Amino acid sequence: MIETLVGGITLSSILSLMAIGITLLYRTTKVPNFAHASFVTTGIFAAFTLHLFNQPIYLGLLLGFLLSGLEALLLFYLVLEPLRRRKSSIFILMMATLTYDIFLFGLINIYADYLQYTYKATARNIYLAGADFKVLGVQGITVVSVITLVACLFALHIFLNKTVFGTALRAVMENDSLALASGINVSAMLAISWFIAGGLAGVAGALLPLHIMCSPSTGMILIAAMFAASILGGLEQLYGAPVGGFILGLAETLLVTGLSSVLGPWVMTYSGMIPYIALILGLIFCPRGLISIRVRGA
Amino acid sequence: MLVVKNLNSGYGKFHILYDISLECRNGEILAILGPNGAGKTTLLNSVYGLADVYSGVIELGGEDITRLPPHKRVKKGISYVFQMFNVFPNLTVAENLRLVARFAGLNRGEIESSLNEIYELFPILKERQRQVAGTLSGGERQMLALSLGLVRKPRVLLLDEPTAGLAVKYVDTLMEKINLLRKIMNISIVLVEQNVHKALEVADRVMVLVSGRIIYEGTPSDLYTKHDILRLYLGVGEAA
Amino acid sequence: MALELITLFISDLLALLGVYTILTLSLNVQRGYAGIPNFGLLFSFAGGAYITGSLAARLGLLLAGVGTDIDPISNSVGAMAVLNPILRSSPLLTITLTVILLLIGAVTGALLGLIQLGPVIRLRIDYLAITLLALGEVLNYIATVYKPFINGALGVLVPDLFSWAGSEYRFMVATLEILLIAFLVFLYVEYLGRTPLGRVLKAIRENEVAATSLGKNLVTYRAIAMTIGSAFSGIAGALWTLYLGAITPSLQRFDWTFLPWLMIFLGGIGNNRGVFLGTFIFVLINRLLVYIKHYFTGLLPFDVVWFDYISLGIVMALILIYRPQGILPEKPRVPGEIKEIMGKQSLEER
Repeated sequence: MIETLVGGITLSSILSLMAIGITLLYRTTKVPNFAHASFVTTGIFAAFTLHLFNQPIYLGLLLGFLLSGLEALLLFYLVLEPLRRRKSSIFILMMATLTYDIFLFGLINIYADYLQYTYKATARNIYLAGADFKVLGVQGITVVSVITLVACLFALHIFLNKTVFGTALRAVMENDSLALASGINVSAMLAISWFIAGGLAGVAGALLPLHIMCSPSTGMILIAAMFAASILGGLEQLYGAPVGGFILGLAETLLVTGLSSVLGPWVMTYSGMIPYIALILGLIFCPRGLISIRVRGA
Repeated sequence: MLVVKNLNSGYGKFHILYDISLECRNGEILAILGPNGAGKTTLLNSVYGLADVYSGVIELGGEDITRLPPHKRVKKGISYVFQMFNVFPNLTVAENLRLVARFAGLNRGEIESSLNEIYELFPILKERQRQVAGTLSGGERQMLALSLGLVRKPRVLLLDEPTAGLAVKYVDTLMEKINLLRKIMNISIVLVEQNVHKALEVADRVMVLVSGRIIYEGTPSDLYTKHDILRLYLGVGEAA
Repeated sequence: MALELITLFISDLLALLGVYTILTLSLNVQRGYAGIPNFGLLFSFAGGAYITGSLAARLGLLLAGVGTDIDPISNSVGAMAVLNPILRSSPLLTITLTVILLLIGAVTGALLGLIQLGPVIRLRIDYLAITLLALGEVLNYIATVYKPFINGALGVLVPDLFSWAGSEYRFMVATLEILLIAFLVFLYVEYLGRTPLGRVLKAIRENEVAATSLGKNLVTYRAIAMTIGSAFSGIAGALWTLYLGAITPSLQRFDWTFLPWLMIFLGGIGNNRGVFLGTFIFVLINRLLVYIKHYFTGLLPFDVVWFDYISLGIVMALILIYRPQGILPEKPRVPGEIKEIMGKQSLEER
């Protein structure tokens, strides 16, 4: 039971990191980012590459952050910004993020093939938990993922509330035309938000292979869960994302374990359905997120 | 002072304005009137930088700003007060003012003195400084929006139907303040309005736009004699 | 030998063209007529494909009146050994089975379309896209995990429904049947666009508020468009399974959601001819590239299939930025009588 809880906490923390990025992008650019899948997968491969060359795996946090952040920045400047200038619809913007996801998926797979071919590395079955350290009988990844989540949330909070750029970003999230009229360079602010969001996805991805088995398709598999976490936490609030992440992560681990001890082991095979169910139900019944439920009449 | 010469603009392939020229000197209020869809908002958007300019020149204090993006024009001294969504609804009045002041590049001392000036001009805002902007009444919100436009001491103020949807007492107050402004701050004010009477009361010069073209330009008193224009395009009857 | 290769190449291309045409037309009905951007096309397509995989052999055995203990799902090889010879000798049986399976595919597609309606009605476009995308993946998951459906990850074989004229003509027959159905679908969708229903749908797409003010019940019309469109996706899925002769729960979002969208953007949204053009151009280039890529395999340290993802990603991005209306943008259809009244000249001014 404790093990399940610990696993749940790890998963939730990582999921939360992904969801924060999605919520941030939704609030600034008003578009759900399907490319987040590949941003996460990039992080996975950052960690894997480091491991392959006998570097400290946790350095992947930094490498993943930078790589995915860069990928996100490129998406913004090369594709999204031109589309925004043409006043393209949300539909086109979504299509663009989906397209970029496909593009990156191709690149990542080429890289995976290359690793397998050249280094005989198991680039399609990445599981690095063995290289993890243990602390008081708990896997290092649990500790690291929680600390990383808290640190990122804290850093984000400081950035948004205490720095000039962060305040400008908040203004853009609130009312971008007014921000523009106040002299804020909205385009640059959006670019910053993309870099941060992509970076966070990369960090999450770098943590993943220490917890579950990963492949180039992991990002795509998890995208539904990322959105579910983001939506459950309320796409309108940044700090809701970790709430959603934990609800989903704990539901997937604890709920499934609990149900299977009652209903039988077949329940376990369906655990992957939970994000989809959560997503669909969440969107239909409370698209403003669970957080909005307690605030009535405000 | 704002000068526009032979402006042709629109959005993409929708050509809205045809050969528009105007001048708005310091301390002057230029009212832009006309029926709906005439292009009044497009004119403001063009000066601000949100519309596509096909040809023509826009000059601010003699400097050509036609190719500058909006946020750079703001830094040069153009302030645009939108008709709606013109405040940050989740911040308080004071936070709204401070935020915009910060981005206007004012240092701490300048921010405080700017705020004090605004509170003097709009005592109601001083009263409500800790209130969240989204909960202000229509008139108060417009005053806040106007103040936000003033914080960076602009050279040109673009106002898009500031009195739209406001209760009568607020309309009077707002117009009074706008009138005061041009004297105190010596700025050029381009005022787009549907409320013809109020606009003519404060304006120094007036321009009537119909279907993207200027059909009248002159002083308010002269316009009052042009009954046909008043009746046909501005919806004002004989008892003007 | 060369002639055989070329014949095979052409018939393969045409078959792919047929299946994709039906799929893109279905997407067009949903998006171009009713304005529903279906990011979850995979859902209805996979539904049709998997249900065919699940039921084809069972129905075949039933119709042929053959009693056997072989479970066509867990032992599809065995089942085929029994069923295929029977089918080969009876064109009537084969055709009947084909028609029934296509109908089932259509109904399944339609039902899945109705399921997607729930979110469609209530959600804004961005939430909708996420939901539909998620739905698309669910079916793969269920099909993999629930073995009795199509034998899990291994998949099943389906009866060969195209050898009734002789097994040497299998591919030709398959291609012809697919093209025939694609043609019928095209005719129907064109016809649909000219009916009052079709015109209402297009009106809704352009301007929701105006359409409602005319007293048209948005929800009903959207439901109809969605159902019809999804039925076609179901048919496309069924045809795909039958063409392949087998199916595994591994249908990819790339092939069956992204690519159809690419084809539509390439050719022109809303416009059936444009959609077909886009599909044709794409399939042609794709097939040519497959044969060219074949030469590169082994030379590069990676699988050439990934080139598709990269190059198509770039192509799509370029289309979105520079020509989102496609090669043949939709021109508003003006009925003949009105053209006469208004006079051709004034129309061209617009």
